[in-house]
Amino acid sequence: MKNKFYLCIIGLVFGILILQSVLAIGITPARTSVDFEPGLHREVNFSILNSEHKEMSVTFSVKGELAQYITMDKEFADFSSSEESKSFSYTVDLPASFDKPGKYEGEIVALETSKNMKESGTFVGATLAVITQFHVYVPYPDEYLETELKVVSSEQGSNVLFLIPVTNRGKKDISQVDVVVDVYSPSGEKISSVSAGPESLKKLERKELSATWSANVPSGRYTANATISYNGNKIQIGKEFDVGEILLEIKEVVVKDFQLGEIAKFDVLIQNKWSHPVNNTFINILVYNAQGGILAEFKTPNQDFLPLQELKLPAYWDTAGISEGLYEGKLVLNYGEKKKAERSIQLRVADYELEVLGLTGKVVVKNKGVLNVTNVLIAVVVLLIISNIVWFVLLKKRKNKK
Amino acid sequence: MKTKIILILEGILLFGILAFLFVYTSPKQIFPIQGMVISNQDFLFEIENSQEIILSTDIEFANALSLKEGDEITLPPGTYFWKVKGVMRESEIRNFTLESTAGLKLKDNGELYEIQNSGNVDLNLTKTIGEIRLGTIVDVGESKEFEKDNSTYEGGQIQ
Repeated sequence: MKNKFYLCIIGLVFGILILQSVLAIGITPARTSVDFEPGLHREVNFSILNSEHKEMSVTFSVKGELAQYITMDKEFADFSSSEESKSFSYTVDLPASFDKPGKYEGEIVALETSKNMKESGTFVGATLAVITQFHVYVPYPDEYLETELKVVSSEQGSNVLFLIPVTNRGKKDISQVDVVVDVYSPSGEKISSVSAGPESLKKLERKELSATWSANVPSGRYTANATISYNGNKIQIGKEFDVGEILLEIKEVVVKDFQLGEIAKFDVLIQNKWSHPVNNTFINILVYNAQGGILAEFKTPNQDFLPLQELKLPAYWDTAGISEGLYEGKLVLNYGEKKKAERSIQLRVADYELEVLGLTGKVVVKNKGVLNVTNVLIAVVVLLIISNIVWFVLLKKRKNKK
Repeated sequence: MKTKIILILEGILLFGILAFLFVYTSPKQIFPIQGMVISNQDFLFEIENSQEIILSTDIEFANALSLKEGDEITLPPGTYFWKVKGVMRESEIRNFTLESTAGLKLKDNGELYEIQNSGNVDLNLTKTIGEIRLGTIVDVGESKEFEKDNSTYEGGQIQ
């Protein structure tokens, strides 16, 4: 009865994992910042994320110039596969003063270790560690602006949001902060400018300036250059961001000179529809048996694509022991730094022919559509209302006749 | 007299239906709930009776993003205000806070290790093997490949 739909955030969202993830760890918050206070005592909480739901052990250590002022509540923790996250804390006891103004850093390192390592004392392979930082800011005698540029963009044609948090790390107020963000096209041409502010900042105050840009431009990787001006000073920050969706299209898959029992060569024709190079692209082809198990898996070599480039990538399947028939399959396109998309296919295998079916159209990840039940309900109720009004009018006419 | 009663009842019924429709079809936010602190960056907006979300870091929505069904977006950590737009009406304004997360994922792709920044802040990634330390920056969602060995990969938010 409800018209619900879902909007994917990504962050995250990186598609379907094809490769086996062997290790994963997260820590939140990534950073805790405070302004210096003499003798400050504070307990700071943080969480370790076990996003892969694996059994793991985590060892904590402290480093950085603030290490001597930080005490961990635990040095070791075990995670079971059912534990998605666990909370921990550390205590900070700052001295009465620091020699110089500026930023002082402490780092709590969480090192993921396998449970085998704990038991046997040895481990072969890589290990991962993540850091939660503790920053203390000792104010500068004058005004001192700290800033960064964040870009939030979604689909092509919608707004791009530029976020410019500004913090006065000094003891003097800043009367005016202005921001101008210049936007450059993938070819390096300046195409737009937006501004934010002016804003004033008291000592140690933080504000977030923002500006929007209507991205009615072709898909591609754009650059934002922000110029932050205050009290005659200028700070420049640049950041690349994507407009629209990186899109690669599989145009066709052709298997020539096929003979059952031999090695089949698949030529996969792919076009980069993105006005920017897309690196590290490859395709996995999976073939399933009648029970749904993987009968074969093979891939193309990795390939970098230039903007709008069309290329054929080869993949080879040894069909020894394969019988004639129709096989279900899957084609997984891996491209860019974080994109994966898949499409179901069928492979019709004959003695001298192999045909790949179901490939027309683009391979993109889209959300499933949801039936708009409320609209149907509204239509029904409106019909009822209309029928009631008609009935009401008829009744009134009949009454008037009488 | 009988007709008059029927007409009154009919009027009450119509008014009731219209009142019900007004309440039932109002645009609503379901998730994230008001004031929620989110540490997992992979989350979904859930709404009712609307096709559009308005999202901003400013409660006045002076600079806002419009999100529609199927949109994917990577939000940096921070506090966000949001509302949903329905037919001729908007919902109330709610907020949520996306907490910063430093995350790493290591995948063994056969020949190489692939290290992915799975958090929501850009990372300084340091590879340490023995006395050798190599540093690189890995943006949110980005992956980098490394030779397979017994290195430790350490990720902390860039300055």
